[in-house]
Amino acid sequence: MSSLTLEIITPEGVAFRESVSAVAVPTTEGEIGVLAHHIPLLTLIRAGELHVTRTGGQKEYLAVDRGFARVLGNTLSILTEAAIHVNDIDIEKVAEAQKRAEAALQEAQAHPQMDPAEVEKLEAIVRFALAQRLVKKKQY
Amino acid sequence: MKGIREIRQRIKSVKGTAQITRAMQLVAASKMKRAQAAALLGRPYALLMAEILVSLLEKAGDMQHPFLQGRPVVTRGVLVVATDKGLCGGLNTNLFRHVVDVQGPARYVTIGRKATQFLSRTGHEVMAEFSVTDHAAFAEVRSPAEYLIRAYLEGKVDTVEVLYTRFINTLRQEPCLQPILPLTSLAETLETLRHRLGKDGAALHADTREMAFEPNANALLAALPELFVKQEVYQMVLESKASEHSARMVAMKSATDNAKNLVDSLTLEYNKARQAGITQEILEIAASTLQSA
Repeated sequence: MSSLTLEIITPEGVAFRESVSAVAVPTTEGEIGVLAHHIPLLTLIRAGELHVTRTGGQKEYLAVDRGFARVLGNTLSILTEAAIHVNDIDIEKVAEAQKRAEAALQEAQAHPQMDPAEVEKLEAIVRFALAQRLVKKKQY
Repeated sequence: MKGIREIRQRIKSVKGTAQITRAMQLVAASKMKRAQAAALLGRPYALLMAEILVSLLEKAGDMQHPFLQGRPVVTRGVLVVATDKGLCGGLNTNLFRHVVDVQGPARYVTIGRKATQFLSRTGHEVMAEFSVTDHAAFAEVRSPAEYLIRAYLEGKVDTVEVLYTRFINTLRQEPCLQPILPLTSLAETLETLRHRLGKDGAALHADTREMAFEPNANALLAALPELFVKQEVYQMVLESKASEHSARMVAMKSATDNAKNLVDSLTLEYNKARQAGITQEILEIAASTLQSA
């Protein structure tokens, strides 16, 4: 079975780089499946679940934040703010972080002079937390 | 030969200095580890971002975006990334030597107090000054990057370049000038980035087929170039921070070593002086006994 290379790169380094047989990517236009020898493609991705089928057939799930995906020369490169494997998600910690960020966001709405960069960061935390919870829930 | 008392005082003061430089060395070493890790791990991301932008611009054909239009360069815009504090060897001096090489009229934006001091002392025009903490967060770099983008769009400057210190390893850092805007020679930029950031990023993929864009090329073009500029600036700040802490660690280590050597030679001198004093006393005692006998 032919395979393609999947690489997921975040600001914290290379999160994933392996040969896999299929990947389902959450794009802004809906989920797309990428197999080997896909045509070159550049697309925006949204926070959600990335679904990897390994060459052996076993499946893996990752939560990704929004970013870009590019298919070129039989390689799928995902550029995202954050990515985490489903096994590494600590649901309680995530819920806690989400609660904290949401509370801070509420406060930010009351004080419009707050740094927009800070607000954006909080929104990113909430967004990624939701994606992680979604992926984790699907597992059970 | 100096008096015993002076030597003793000197030893004491050198020991005090050594203690301070040693403490600074340890602080720099721990900061260095984090800064180096951040710089190295950020490289693949910065590189892939550049590659995705290149794919977009190469494959999408004619595109209209203010970043893509080169114009005759009247005033260059240079962001100089230096340190806030000194005591980091020749790091800033080497960096500032490259400021002299900037040809033609230029306006400057600085990160780090040392850069502002140098530029205003040498009579260069500083438009704005920013500072970032030791563990620079992306949000901190956003405001200088946005400032530069605005200055470029308003026509205050016709290029955006970054002068920063590239991190090679703990003992080697290299100042370099990286042009960012306009994005007219992006392929070259990518080539230098690939050279400077190492090939650990995405491998080079040759693919001549048509590229599909989703939702469409313009939506991507609206988001990517600005993010690219910010990300590249951020990566360069990370590199500068890694260089700064490495240089400081090395400088403080050699200062500590020098102080230790100095204490050793001073101790030797002190012992000699003490011995000479004792010998002198014995001689005097012997002479006086001889005389009284």
